[in-house]
Amino acid sequence: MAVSRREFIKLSGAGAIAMLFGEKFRAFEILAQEKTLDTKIVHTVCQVCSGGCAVKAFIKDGRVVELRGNPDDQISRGILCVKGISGIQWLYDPDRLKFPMKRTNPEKGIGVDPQFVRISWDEAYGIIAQKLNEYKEKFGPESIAFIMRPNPFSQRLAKAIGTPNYISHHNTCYTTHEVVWMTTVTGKGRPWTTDYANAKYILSFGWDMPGKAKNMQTQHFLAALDKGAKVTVLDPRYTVTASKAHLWIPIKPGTDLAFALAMINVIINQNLYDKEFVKNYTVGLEEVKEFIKPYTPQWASKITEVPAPTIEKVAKEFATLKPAVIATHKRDAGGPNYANSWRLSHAQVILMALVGSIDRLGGPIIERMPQFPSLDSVYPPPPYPKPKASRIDGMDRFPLLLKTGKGSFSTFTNAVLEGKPYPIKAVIVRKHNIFAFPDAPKMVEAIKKVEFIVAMDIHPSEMIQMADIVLPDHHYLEGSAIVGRQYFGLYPQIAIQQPVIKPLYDTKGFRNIMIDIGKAMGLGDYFKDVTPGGYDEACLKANGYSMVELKNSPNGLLGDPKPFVPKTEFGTPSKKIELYASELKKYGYDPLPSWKEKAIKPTKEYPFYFVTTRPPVFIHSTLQNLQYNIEVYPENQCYINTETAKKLGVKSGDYVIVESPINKIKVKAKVTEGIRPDTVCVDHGFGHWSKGMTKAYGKGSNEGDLIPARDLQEMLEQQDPSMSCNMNDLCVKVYKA
Amino acid sequence: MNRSMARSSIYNILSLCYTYPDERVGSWIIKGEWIEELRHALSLLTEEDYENFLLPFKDFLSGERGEVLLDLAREYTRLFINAFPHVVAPPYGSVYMEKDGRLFGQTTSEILQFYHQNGFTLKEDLKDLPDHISHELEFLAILTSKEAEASGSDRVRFEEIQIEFFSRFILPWIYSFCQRIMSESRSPFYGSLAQLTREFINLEKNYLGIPEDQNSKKMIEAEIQGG
Repeated sequence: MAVSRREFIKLSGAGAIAMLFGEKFRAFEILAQEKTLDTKIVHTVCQVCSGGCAVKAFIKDGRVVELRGNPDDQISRGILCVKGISGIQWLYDPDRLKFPMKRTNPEKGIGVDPQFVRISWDEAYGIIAQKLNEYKEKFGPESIAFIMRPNPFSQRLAKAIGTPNYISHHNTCYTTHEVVWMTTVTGKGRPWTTDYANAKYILSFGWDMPGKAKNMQTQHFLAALDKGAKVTVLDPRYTVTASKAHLWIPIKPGTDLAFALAMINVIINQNLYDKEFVKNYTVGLEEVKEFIKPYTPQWASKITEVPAPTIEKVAKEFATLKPAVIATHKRDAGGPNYANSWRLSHAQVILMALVGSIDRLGGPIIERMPQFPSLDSVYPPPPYPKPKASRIDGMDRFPLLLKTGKGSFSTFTNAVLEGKPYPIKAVIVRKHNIFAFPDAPKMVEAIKKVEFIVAMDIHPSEMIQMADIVLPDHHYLEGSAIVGRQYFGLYPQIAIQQPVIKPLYDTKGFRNIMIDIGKAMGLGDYFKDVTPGGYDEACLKANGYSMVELKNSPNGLLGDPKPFVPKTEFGTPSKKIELYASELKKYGYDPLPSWKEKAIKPTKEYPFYFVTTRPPVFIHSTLQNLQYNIEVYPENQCYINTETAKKLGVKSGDYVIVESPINKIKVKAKVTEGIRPDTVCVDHGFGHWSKGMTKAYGKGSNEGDLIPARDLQEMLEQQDPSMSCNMNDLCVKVYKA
Repeated sequence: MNRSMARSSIYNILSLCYTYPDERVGSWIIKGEWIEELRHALSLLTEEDYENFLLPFKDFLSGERGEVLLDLAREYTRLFINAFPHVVAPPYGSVYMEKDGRLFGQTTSEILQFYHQNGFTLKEDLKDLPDHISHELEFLAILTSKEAEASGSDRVRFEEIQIEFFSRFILPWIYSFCQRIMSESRSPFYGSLAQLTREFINLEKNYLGIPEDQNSKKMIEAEIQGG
């Protein structure tokens, strides 16, 4: 085709488009030298759960194609769990958050499209700084709350702003264990390492980590079985762990404490305790002897519906098949499930002290972790402003919990809704989804009252759907950190977390985001020269290493195996394991775990006990948006006993309504012999209503909707130092949908 | 030469229209000079009248500037980045070409290798994926402008590269992509853009002499049925 000169001039305009933007090419540049795509193995750390399994990431042509456990790692021992290997799906999920965004629809709620628009990081920081400073000025710094796990960078930002409100999920998770172990044994938190593999007797009060595919615990538990350990499981449900046990006792929910107390009674009365260990390493035996008198197996039998001889048998086995261990992690019966859970946790400590297994091989081990210096010691900050207000969640009324720096959820919801003692105007949330709160619908209402929400995550969760500003976090395969791990720390071993590929989008690491927000708010003095890399280097230095050394480590790990040296001193005032806990007494709590019932018992209207569990392919309300995982476990189920189902006219696959005094949910029935007739169990993690998560959306329902969010008064009345959310202390009715 | 320039111009315009309409790109879109350019470039390629495809752009862009910018940004975010409900049309080839709809599959590595083999790479600070539609279209704009500058066997070579790139990395998914936008777009801008893209891809397919691909035809039918 011939083109006239006039036309040619017009066309030259087209060629100038690129030039319009100041560069010849927009996305491209000339390749300076030949380039091949990476095919290599990169060491990093899995961050799906808190376990911190060291990972070997296999990269082929620039893509992550496989994740395997690092065989030199004491945690993963070369194996990853189902959640760990699905990290690639998460990384490459098209639904991921990719760029900072801001909301353009002021209306908020379930089913409301936030009408996000992409913005730059600078714009995001500008809006955040302006808003937060405005609220700080008008309503005081306490009107700003952080909702996220403790992290030195975000804690520094909160302190620099001057807010006391740093909220986390822990009192739905393990604060019972945390406070009890702190006051009786460690002086800090609960131990996370359990040496199952060397145990001869394993007793579980509702612990089912193998059923949840918790990697290190499952591996060691199975090793113990192979070596002939005897296992007893108390659980209203026939769990995976129960299926491996020599004895399954379907105990009545919330009565485990009575069983444990009767065990102590037997061990004391029959003189079965480890005299030497008790004499050398514990205090309070005399008080326990007196206290335990009424708690006979006959007494416990009436409460637990377990025959007294069975209780006696378990007690004798526990005291004689050494080493014996009580398996615990988080939401087992001693976790914050019942009004008496913290007492159960205490009874468990006493039992293990009596048989001499605390911090001994085959027992619970106070982990030998690398010691990292605090951020404040590495980068001393200017003085922080002193918070003028008390905490919004009332946690300052629970000084022992406050020491752990963890919690609290349910009282936060209520306080925000009531706007008392003051209004919360802005929240900064990271990876704490609305689903994690008890009574999630109430939390939706509370969060709607909050004027300004900054949310950080990887997937567009429900909290993201409510957000005003969305900040996309790196996926852990794109991020950097050094990780000293707790879940099986027999010796200090540091693992490197490093980007296995270049970040796919315009995401940032969380610690940098905190620094950037601080600087944007004019709080730069607190973040002068502070960098995540600098802090990591200081942490390594404190352990005699350097980043260069860690990066050059052929297996991505630093720290050689060390022989296990049992502790002879503990972190309590007496330096011994305090069976009778002086710290609990000092703060006005019961120093010994006297019997108390769970709070809620079945009634005619709500006749069933309610327990929950989590499928192995998910971590709480995360990972449901991964295609293979949701295919394997497409919706949650309500486990109902065969006999009960018959009475209700329900078959497996029917939908039932599970109703508590506050809400009801519709869920598929799974009829089974493997649960008590008076108990139903519902899986956690479903019912996503964020339409941004295309694969998880609308699958199943959230059992947390049924759980009341307890207020401060109820918490105080319970006289429980851990502010337990009592996640399973409720009863429900069930009927065909 | 002139035909190549016209094609390059269209690829460039489309590439920019599929770029996030931030202040800079949004202003360029609103200014609208590209519509005239597009009309002209198209007139060099075909006798057919494209006025029906171009009119909606003019209408839409004549609105109040701030509102138009906001509409563009909202709709782009909803169609291509994150949306409630669901991202309508992820702008990445692998989502359509990989079996399980995942990002960064084998095809993504291949497209990156293709860029490299032909002397280009993506900028280090790009912060997006190699198979983004905008990058793919820009790459074709570069190839066609190279073709325009070249002569003899070089010219043939650039045309061969285009044919390979077009058939391996564009054709297998572009129709499905456009169809998703056309079915669900709430904005006349992106709806018209998708229509125009489809028409231009048809022209290019004929021009480059690429036979009908049964697979992509099936994909598009499935896309339409799936609604």
